[in-house]
Amino acid sequence: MYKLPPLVLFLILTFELFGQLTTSISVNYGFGTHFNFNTMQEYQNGITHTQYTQLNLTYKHDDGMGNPVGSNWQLTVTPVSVQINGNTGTQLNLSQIQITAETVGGATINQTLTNAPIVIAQGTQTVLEENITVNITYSCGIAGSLLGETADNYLVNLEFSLEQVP
Amino acid sequence: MKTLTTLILATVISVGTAFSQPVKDKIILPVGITLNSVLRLDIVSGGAIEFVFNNLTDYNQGINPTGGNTLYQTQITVSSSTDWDLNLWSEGGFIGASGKTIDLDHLEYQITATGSHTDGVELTIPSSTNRIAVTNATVPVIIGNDGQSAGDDTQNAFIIDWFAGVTNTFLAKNYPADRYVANIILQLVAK
Repeated sequence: MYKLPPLVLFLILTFELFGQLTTSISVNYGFGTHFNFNTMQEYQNGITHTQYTQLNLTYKHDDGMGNPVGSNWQLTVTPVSVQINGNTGTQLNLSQIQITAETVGGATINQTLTNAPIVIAQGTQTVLEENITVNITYSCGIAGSLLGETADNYLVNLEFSLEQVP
Repeated sequence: MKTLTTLILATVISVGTAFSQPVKDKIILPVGITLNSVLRLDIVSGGAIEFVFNNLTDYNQGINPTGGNTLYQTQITVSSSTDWDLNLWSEGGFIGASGKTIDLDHLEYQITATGSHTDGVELTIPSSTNRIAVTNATVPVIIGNDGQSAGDDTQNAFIIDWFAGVTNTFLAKNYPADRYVANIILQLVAK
Protein backbone atom coordinates (compact mmCIF):
# COMPACT_ATOMS: atom_id res chain seq x y z
CA MET A 1 0.00 0.00 0.00
CA TYR A 2 2.86 2.36 0.79
CA LYS A 3 4.37 1.73 -2.63
CA LEU A 4 1.47 3.37 -4.43
CA PRO A 5 2.09 7.10 -3.86
CA PRO A 6 5.66 7.04 -5.27
CA LEU A 7 4.43 5.13 -8.31
CA VAL A 8 1.71 7.66 -9.01
CA LEU A 9 4.10 10.53 -8.45
CA PHE A 10 6.59 8.96 -10.86
CA LEU A 11 4.02 8.58 -13.58
CA ILE A 12 2.78 12.11 -13.19
CA LEU A 13 6.31 13.49 -13.26
CA THR A 14 7.05 11.45 -16.35
CA PHE A 15 4.14 13.07 -18.18
CA GLU A 16 5.25 16.51 -17.01
CA LEU A 17 8.86 16.02 -18.03
CA PHE A 18 7.96 15.11 -21.59
CA GLY A 19 6.13 18.37 -22.04
CA GLN A 20 3.39 18.99 -24.61
CA LEU A 21 3.22 20.22 -28.22
CA THR A 22 -0.13 21.48 -29.34
CA THR A 23 -0.92 22.72 -32.83
CA SER A 24 -4.22 23.68 -34.35
CA ILE A 25 -5.46 25.35 -37.53
CA SER A 26 -8.81 26.99 -37.88
CA VAL A 27 -10.34 28.82 -40.85
CA ASN A 28 -11.56 32.31 -40.02
CA TYR A 29 -13.03 32.69 -43.51
CA GLY A 30 -12.60 31.47 -47.07
CA PHE A 31 -13.04 27.74 -46.92
CA GLY A 32 -11.45 27.10 -50.31
CA THR A 33 -11.80 29.10 -53.50
CA HIS A 34 -12.97 28.81 -57.11
CA PHE A 35 -11.63 30.39 -60.28
CA ASN A 36 -13.98 31.06 -63.21
CA PHE A 37 -12.32 31.75 -66.55
CA ASN A 38 -14.81 33.42 -68.88
CA THR A 39 -12.87 35.94 -70.97
CA MET A 40 -9.73 36.03 -73.05
CA GLN A 41 -8.26 38.57 -70.62
CA GLU A 42 -8.66 36.09 -67.77
CA TYR A 43 -7.11 33.33 -69.86
CA GLN A 44 -4.14 35.53 -70.74
CA ASN A 45 -3.54 37.29 -67.43
CA GLY A 46 -4.86 34.77 -64.94
CA ILE A 47 -7.01 35.38 -61.88
CA THR A 48 -5.96 36.29 -58.34
CA HIS A 49 -8.13 35.99 -55.26
CA THR A 50 -6.39 38.26 -52.79
CA GLN A 51 -6.49 37.29 -49.11
CA TYR A 52 -9.35 34.97 -49.84
CA THR A 53 -8.68 32.64 -46.92
CA GLN A 54 -7.66 33.60 -43.41
CA LEU A 55 -6.22 30.93 -41.14
CA ASN A 56 -5.65 31.11 -37.43
CA LEU A 57 -2.74 29.01 -36.21
CA THR A 58 -2.12 28.02 -32.62
CA TYR A 59 1.27 26.66 -31.68
CA LYS A 60 2.01 25.78 -28.06
CA HIS A 61 5.18 23.94 -27.13
CA ASP A 62 5.51 23.52 -23.38
CA ASP A 63 8.76 22.31 -21.83
CA GLY A 64 6.78 20.59 -19.13
CA MET A 65 7.39 23.35 -16.61
CA GLY A 66 5.07 25.86 -18.23
CA ASN A 67 7.79 27.53 -20.28
CA PRO A 68 7.97 27.87 -24.09
CA VAL A 69 10.44 25.52 -25.76
CA GLY A 70 11.25 28.08 -28.44
CA SER A 71 10.95 25.56 -31.22
CA ASN A 72 10.40 26.41 -34.89
CA TRP A 73 7.05 25.90 -36.57
CA GLN A 74 5.99 25.80 -40.19
CA LEU A 75 2.80 25.82 -42.21
CA THR A 76 2.96 23.63 -45.29
CA VAL A 77 0.63 23.03 -48.22
CA THR A 78 0.44 19.69 -49.96
CA PRO A 79 -1.89 18.95 -52.88
CA VAL A 80 -3.84 15.77 -52.25
CA SER A 81 -3.54 14.75 -55.92
CA VAL A 82 -0.61 14.96 -58.33
CA GLN A 83 -2.65 16.89 -60.91
CA ILE A 84 -5.65 19.20 -60.93
CA ASN A 85 -8.32 16.82 -62.11
CA GLY A 86 -11.18 17.73 -64.45
CA ASN A 87 -14.61 16.15 -64.59
CA THR A 88 -14.02 14.53 -67.95
CA GLY A 89 -10.62 13.02 -67.32
CA THR A 90 -8.71 16.13 -68.31
CA GLN A 91 -5.93 17.44 -66.10
CA LEU A 92 -4.07 20.65 -65.38
CA ASN A 93 -0.60 20.95 -63.91
CA LEU A 94 -0.39 21.85 -60.24
CA SER A 95 1.96 24.67 -61.21
CA GLN A 96 -1.05 26.59 -62.51
CA ILE A 97 -1.81 27.55 -58.92
CA GLN A 98 0.30 29.87 -56.77
CA ILE A 99 -0.25 30.52 -53.10
CA THR A 100 0.90 33.59 -51.24
CA ALA A 101 0.78 33.49 -47.46
CA GLU A 102 1.05 36.74 -45.52
CA THR A 103 1.65 36.24 -41.85
CA VAL A 104 0.26 39.20 -39.95
CA GLY A 105 3.31 40.94 -38.53
CA GLY A 106 5.60 38.55 -40.36
CA ALA A 107 6.87 37.57 -43.74
CA THR A 108 5.12 37.01 -47.05
CA ILE A 109 5.94 33.83 -48.92
CA ASN A 110 4.89 33.07 -52.47
CA GLN A 111 5.01 29.50 -53.69
CA THR A 112 3.92 27.54 -56.74
CA LEU A 113 2.20 24.24 -56.08
CA THR A 114 4.15 21.05 -56.62
CA ASN A 115 3.64 17.43 -55.67
CA ALA A 116 5.80 17.90 -52.57
CA PRO A 117 4.86 19.86 -49.45
CA ILE A 118 5.74 23.54 -49.74
CA VAL A 119 6.35 25.83 -46.79
CA ILE A 120 4.21 28.96 -46.93
CA ALA A 121 4.73 30.31 -43.40
CA GLN A 122 7.23 29.70 -40.66
CA GLY A 123 8.46 31.14 -37.39
CA THR A 124 9.98 30.56 -33.96
CA GLN A 125 7.98 30.21 -30.80
CA THR A 126 8.57 33.18 -28.50
CA VAL A 127 5.67 32.84 -26.10
CA LEU A 128 4.10 29.76 -24.64
CA GLU A 129 1.13 29.90 -26.97
CA GLU A 130 1.69 31.46 -30.36
CA ASN A 131 -1.44 32.66 -32.14
CA ILE A 132 -0.67 33.46 -35.74
CA THR A 133 -3.00 34.87 -38.37
CA VAL A 134 -2.17 33.96 -41.97
CA ASN A 135 -3.88 35.49 -45.01
CA ILE A 136 -3.85 33.27 -48.07
CA THR A 137 -3.93 34.65 -51.61
CA TYR A 138 -4.62 32.24 -54.48
CA SER A 139 -3.57 32.82 -58.08
CA CYS A 140 -4.34 30.73 -61.11
CA GLY A 141 -3.05 31.01 -64.66
CA ILE A 142 -0.48 33.71 -63.79
CA ALA A 143 2.80 31.83 -64.18
CA GLY A 144 1.55 29.76 -67.11
CA SER A 145 -1.30 30.59 -69.47
CA LEU A 146 -4.39 28.39 -69.47
CA LEU A 147 -4.89 29.11 -73.18
CA GLY A 148 -5.26 25.86 -75.05
CA GLU A 149 -6.47 23.89 -72.05
CA THR A 150 -9.70 21.95 -72.33
CA ALA A 151 -12.83 23.64 -71.03
CA ASP A 152 -13.93 21.73 -67.95
CA ASN A 153 -14.46 21.94 -64.20
CA TYR A 154 -11.27 21.14 -62.31
CA LEU A 155 -10.65 20.58 -58.63
CA VAL A 156 -7.72 19.99 -56.32
CA ASN A 157 -7.77 19.62 -52.55
CA LEU A 158 -4.99 21.33 -50.63
CA GLU A 159 -3.85 20.04 -47.28
CA PHE A 160 -2.61 22.76 -44.93
CA SER A 161 -0.50 21.38 -42.11
CA LEU A 162 0.98 23.09 -39.06
CA GLU A 163 3.85 21.30 -37.40
CA GLN A 164 7.17 21.66 -35.64
CA VAL A 165 10.07 22.00 -38.04
CA PRO A 166 11.62 18.54 -38.17
CA MET B 1 -4.06 -4.66 -3.61
CA LYS B 2 -3.39 -5.70 -7.18
CA THR B 3 -6.80 -4.51 -8.25
CA LEU B 4 -6.23 -1.14 -6.66
CA THR B 5 -2.83 -0.80 -8.30
CA THR B 6 -4.21 -1.68 -11.69
CA LEU B 7 -7.05 0.78 -11.23
CA ILE B 8 -4.70 3.61 -10.32
CA LEU B 9 -2.38 2.82 -13.20
CA ALA B 10 -5.26 2.74 -15.66
CA THR B 11 -6.57 6.03 -14.34
CA VAL B 12 -3.22 7.78 -14.58
CA ILE B 13 -2.60 6.47 -18.11
CA SER B 14 -6.08 7.43 -19.19
CA VAL B 15 -5.65 10.92 -17.81
CA GLY B 16 -2.31 11.20 -19.55
CA THR B 17 -3.81 10.10 -22.83
CA ALA B 18 -6.71 12.46 -22.48
CA PHE B 19 -4.35 15.39 -21.97
CA SER B 20 -2.06 14.45 -24.83
CA GLN B 21 -2.40 16.63 -27.92
CA PRO B 22 -1.78 16.20 -31.61
CA VAL B 23 1.60 17.51 -32.69
CA LYS B 24 0.45 18.19 -36.23
CA ASP B 25 -2.87 19.65 -37.25
CA LYS B 26 -4.26 19.56 -40.76
CA ILE B 27 -7.11 21.05 -42.71
CA ILE B 28 -8.12 20.50 -46.31
CA LEU B 29 -9.34 23.35 -48.50
CA PRO B 30 -10.67 22.75 -52.03
CA VAL B 31 -9.58 24.88 -54.99
CA GLY B 32 -11.80 24.70 -58.07
CA ILE B 33 -11.16 25.97 -61.58
CA THR B 34 -13.84 26.33 -64.24
CA LEU B 35 -12.61 26.90 -67.77
CA ASN B 36 -15.41 28.18 -69.96
CA SER B 37 -14.67 28.07 -73.67
CA VAL B 38 -14.07 31.36 -75.47
CA LEU B 39 -14.56 31.09 -79.25
CA ARG B 40 -15.14 34.20 -81.33
CA LEU B 41 -14.76 35.04 -85.02
CA ASP B 42 -14.88 38.70 -86.01
CA ILE B 43 -15.17 40.09 -89.51
CA VAL B 44 -13.17 43.30 -89.18
CA SER B 45 -13.76 44.48 -92.75
CA GLY B 46 -14.72 43.16 -96.15
CA GLY B 47 -17.93 41.46 -95.20
CA ALA B 48 -19.13 41.78 -98.80
CA ILE B 49 -16.89 41.71 -101.85
CA GLU B 50 -17.99 42.94 -105.25
CA PHE B 51 -16.10 42.13 -108.46
CA VAL B 52 -17.09 44.21 -111.47
CA PHE B 53 -15.96 43.08 -114.94
CA ASN B 54 -15.93 46.07 -117.30
CA ASN B 55 -13.32 45.35 -119.93
CA LEU B 56 -11.67 42.56 -121.84
CA THR B 57 -8.59 42.66 -119.66
CA ASP B 58 -10.78 41.75 -116.70
CA TYR B 59 -12.35 38.94 -118.75
CA ASN B 60 -8.94 37.75 -119.98
CA GLN B 61 -6.95 37.96 -116.77
CA GLY B 62 -9.57 38.20 -114.09
CA ILE B 63 -9.43 40.54 -111.15
CA ASN B 64 -6.23 39.79 -109.35
CA PRO B 65 -5.57 41.81 -106.18
CA THR B 66 -2.13 40.28 -105.61
CA GLY B 67 -0.12 42.76 -103.59
CA GLY B 68 -3.08 43.77 -101.57
CA ASN B 69 -6.20 45.64 -102.52
CA THR B 70 -8.61 46.32 -99.70
CA LEU B 71 -11.53 46.27 -102.13
CA TYR B 72 -11.03 42.54 -102.45
CA GLN B 73 -9.94 41.69 -98.94
CA THR B 74 -11.72 40.34 -95.90
CA GLN B 75 -10.01 40.92 -92.57
CA ILE B 76 -10.89 38.54 -89.80
CA THR B 77 -9.74 37.85 -86.26
CA VAL B 78 -10.16 34.83 -84.02
CA SER B 79 -10.18 34.78 -80.23
CA SER B 80 -10.15 31.31 -78.78
CA SER B 81 -9.23 29.76 -75.45
CA THR B 82 -8.57 26.42 -77.12
CA ASP B 83 -7.04 25.22 -80.36
CA TRP B 84 -9.28 25.88 -83.36
CA ASP B 85 -9.82 25.42 -87.09
CA LEU B 86 -11.47 27.74 -89.58
CA ASN B 87 -13.56 26.12 -92.29
CA LEU B 88 -14.72 27.77 -95.51
CA TRP B 89 -17.25 26.78 -98.14
CA SER B 90 -19.86 28.26 -100.44
CA GLU B 91 -23.47 27.93 -99.41
CA GLY B 92 -24.40 27.36 -103.06
CA GLY B 93 -23.18 28.35 -106.50
CA PHE B 94 -23.10 31.82 -108.03
CA ILE B 95 -26.66 32.71 -108.92
CA GLY B 96 -27.63 35.69 -111.07
CA ALA B 97 -30.72 37.83 -110.76
CA SER B 98 -32.03 36.08 -113.85
CA GLY B 99 -31.60 32.72 -112.18
CA LYS B 100 -28.60 31.84 -114.32
CA THR B 101 -25.55 30.38 -112.60
CA ILE B 102 -21.80 30.51 -113.15
CA ASP B 103 -19.14 28.08 -111.97
CA LEU B 104 -18.04 28.46 -108.38
CA ASP B 105 -14.39 27.85 -109.14
CA HIS B 106 -14.06 31.27 -110.74
CA LEU B 107 -13.68 32.47 -107.19
CA GLU B 108 -10.39 31.83 -105.39
CA TYR B 109 -8.91 32.89 -102.10
CA GLN B 110 -5.54 33.22 -100.46
CA ILE B 111 -5.07 33.69 -96.71
CA THR B 112 -2.26 35.55 -94.97
CA ALA B 113 -1.66 35.60 -91.23
CA THR B 114 -1.12 39.17 -90.00
CA GLY B 115 -1.05 38.51 -86.27
CA SER B 116 1.74 37.05 -84.18
CA HIS B 117 0.55 33.51 -84.89
CA THR B 118 2.09 32.50 -88.17
CA ASP B 119 1.79 29.84 -90.81
CA GLY B 120 4.02 26.88 -90.12
CA VAL B 121 4.38 27.60 -86.42
CA GLU B 122 1.10 28.02 -84.57
CA LEU B 123 -1.04 27.52 -87.67
CA THR B 124 -1.18 25.69 -90.95
CA ILE B 125 -2.62 27.70 -93.85
CA PRO B 126 -2.85 25.66 -97.06
CA SER B 127 -3.50 28.77 -99.18
CA SER B 128 -0.67 30.86 -97.75
CA THR B 129 1.45 30.52 -100.89
CA ASN B 130 -1.09 29.74 -103.60
CA ARG B 131 -4.68 30.48 -104.52
CA ILE B 132 -7.33 27.85 -103.86
CA ALA B 133 -10.74 27.73 -105.55
CA VAL B 134 -13.87 27.92 -103.45
CA THR B 135 -16.06 24.80 -103.41
CA ASN B 136 -19.29 23.65 -101.82
CA ALA B 137 -17.36 21.24 -99.64
CA THR B 138 -16.29 22.21 -96.15
CA VAL B 139 -12.57 22.88 -96.29
CA PRO B 140 -10.30 23.75 -93.35
CA VAL B 141 -8.56 26.88 -94.55
CA ILE B 142 -6.75 27.67 -91.30
CA ILE B 143 -5.70 24.75 -89.15
CA GLY B 144 -4.63 25.36 -85.57
CA ASN B 145 -1.56 23.37 -84.66
CA ASP B 146 -1.95 21.36 -81.45
CA GLY B 147 -1.25 23.37 -78.35
CA GLN B 148 -0.36 26.46 -80.38
CA SER B 149 -3.32 28.24 -81.92
CA ALA B 150 -5.28 29.45 -78.88
CA GLY B 151 -4.96 33.17 -78.50
CA ASP B 152 -6.58 36.54 -78.89
CA ASP B 153 -7.35 38.79 -81.87
CA THR B 154 -3.84 40.24 -81.97
CA GLN B 155 -2.37 36.77 -82.29
CA ASN B 156 -4.96 35.32 -84.64
CA ALA B 157 -5.49 37.99 -87.31
CA PHE B 158 -5.83 37.25 -91.02
CA ILE B 159 -6.45 38.74 -94.42
CA ILE B 160 -8.35 36.78 -97.03
CA ASP B 161 -7.56 38.00 -100.54
CA TRP B 162 -10.30 37.14 -103.04
CA PHE B 163 -9.67 36.53 -106.72
CA ALA B 164 -12.24 36.22 -109.52
CA GLY B 165 -11.72 34.82 -113.00
CA VAL B 166 -7.93 34.52 -112.65
CA THR B 167 -7.24 30.80 -113.00
CA ASN B 168 -10.56 30.01 -114.60
CA THR B 169 -11.23 33.09 -116.73
CA PHE B 170 -14.64 34.37 -117.74
CA LEU B 171 -13.69 34.81 -121.34
CA ALA B 172 -15.60 32.60 -123.78
CA LYS B 173 -17.81 31.26 -121.04
CA ASN B 174 -20.81 32.90 -122.63
CA TYR B 175 -22.30 33.83 -119.28
CA PRO B 176 -25.11 36.34 -119.62
CA ALA B 177 -24.27 39.73 -118.18
CA ASP B 178 -25.75 39.81 -114.72
CA ARG B 179 -24.92 40.29 -111.05
CA TYR B 180 -24.04 36.91 -109.62
CA VAL B 181 -23.94 36.29 -105.88
CA ALA B 182 -22.58 33.49 -103.72
CA ASN B 183 -22.60 33.29 -99.94
CA ILE B 184 -19.32 32.17 -98.49
CA ILE B 185 -19.48 30.58 -95.04
CA LEU B 186 -16.66 30.89 -92.51
CA GLN B 187 -16.98 28.47 -89.63
CA LEU B 188 -14.84 28.59 -86.50
CA VAL B 189 -14.52 25.23 -84.79
CA ALA B 190 -12.93 24.50 -81.43
CA LYS B 191 -10.79 21.39 -81.35
